[in-house]
Amino acid sequence: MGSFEASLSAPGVEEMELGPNETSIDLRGLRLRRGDRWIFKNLDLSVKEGELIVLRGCSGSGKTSLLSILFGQRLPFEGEVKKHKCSLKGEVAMMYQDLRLVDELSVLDNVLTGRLHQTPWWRSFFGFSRAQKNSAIQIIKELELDSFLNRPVKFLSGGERQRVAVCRLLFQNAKVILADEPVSSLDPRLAEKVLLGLKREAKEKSKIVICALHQRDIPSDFADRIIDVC
Amino acid sequence: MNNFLKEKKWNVLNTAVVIFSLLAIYSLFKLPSHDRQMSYLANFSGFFKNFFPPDWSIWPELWKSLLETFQMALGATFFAILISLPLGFFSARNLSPRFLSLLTRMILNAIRSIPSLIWALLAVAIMGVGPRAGVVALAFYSLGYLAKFFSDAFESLDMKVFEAFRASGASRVSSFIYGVWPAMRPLISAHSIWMLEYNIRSASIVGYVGAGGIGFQLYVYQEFYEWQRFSSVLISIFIVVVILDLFGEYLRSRLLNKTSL
Repeated sequence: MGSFEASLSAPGVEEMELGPNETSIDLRGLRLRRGDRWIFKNLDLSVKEGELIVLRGCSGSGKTSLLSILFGQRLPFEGEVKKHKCSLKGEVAMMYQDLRLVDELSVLDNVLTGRLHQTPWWRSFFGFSRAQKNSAIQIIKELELDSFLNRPVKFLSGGERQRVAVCRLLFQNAKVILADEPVSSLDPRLAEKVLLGLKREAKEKSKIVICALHQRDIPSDFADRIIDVC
Repeated sequence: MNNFLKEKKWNVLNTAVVIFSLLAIYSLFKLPSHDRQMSYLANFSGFFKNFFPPDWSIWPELWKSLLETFQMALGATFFAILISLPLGFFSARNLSPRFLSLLTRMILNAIRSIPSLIWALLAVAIMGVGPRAGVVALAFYSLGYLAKFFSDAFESLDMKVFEAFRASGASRVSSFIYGVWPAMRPLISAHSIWMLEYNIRSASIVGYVGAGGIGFQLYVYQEFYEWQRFSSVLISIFIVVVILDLFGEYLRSRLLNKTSL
């Protein structure tokens, strides 16, 4: 708990300069407690576009809570969360640890739901457009799920389901990507592929990517900052 | 550990089962019976003998009535599904505002408290004798149950996906269509098939009060003491119900356990 407080107030973060149209997230003095235990105490964190941050820590250390606060879910926290140019719904995408896939829908449909926020309510009755489907298929192919395109996700393995959730996350094309344990069920080769994909989103598309991972052996050049949470 | 086991041994459910059993036995002895000494077995065998052999000469009319009964049940179930879907949605506490859910539940309770024969009497009084009155009566009767089943199905769903879609900025309708409906579809279909089976049984009886279907034939043969014809109608209903039951069971198991039909 104490180390978390110290590590998040990383030197250099405060001095970050941001352009007027740059996407950024600022947390100031964030405090959250679970029962009589402090999860965060005066947490400061600034992230700007193009940055990839890894929250590394053991189970129960508050990684998911922090991501939930950043996503805008109502947790009883104290402090300030400022989002610049990413405050609208749909501009922040979240991959949950429990994946939240629709078991009865196919891989393709699950990925397409990533763009549900862009779909007018009446359009939902008629399905997604051909262009959206083609674009989703590209991402599905990248993560080697194209042979399961029309298979309901309830018939997939844990690792395959996790890749579907990653595809949906990437397909949402949001300015801020929050991924809670995106590679926990993947083999090293696929895990690397997913992590490189997330890095590409940050570096090539200038997005903010914040990943919660429990693995200790994350390559040091993968993330701009690795924050140890426990 | 021992204390834990002791606590688990005697719970609310066990108490309820004991109270229920005691009340049932007590009620059985307390219910008024006929004062005369009667030989139940002799009565039964005497009455039962009249049923045999069944008279199948009425088959052409019987076939038409069976078809009419099936059509009534089909129409009633169709309208009941249409009305029950929004009512089930309004009644679900996890999807609708509290006041709307309470109001809908009250309406559904009121609908369920009226038996199908009373609905049939009302429909015949308003619409006149005939199978259309039967359709309306059964539609009202079954929507009370179907909407309750749908509502329970909505409430049993894990709403995490719906909430995740809402949080990502999707509209309520889109989140429902993609986050709730796919999981609901098999449940709704299974309940609807069950209601169709139930309505076929009910449609066989509303004819007694003039609401069409094979019940009208039962009524006529009973009034004229034509028990052999009466028995052929009963056997036909039995066969239809058994076939539908088996078919319904097959469909339901396919719907609930597999991907698609």
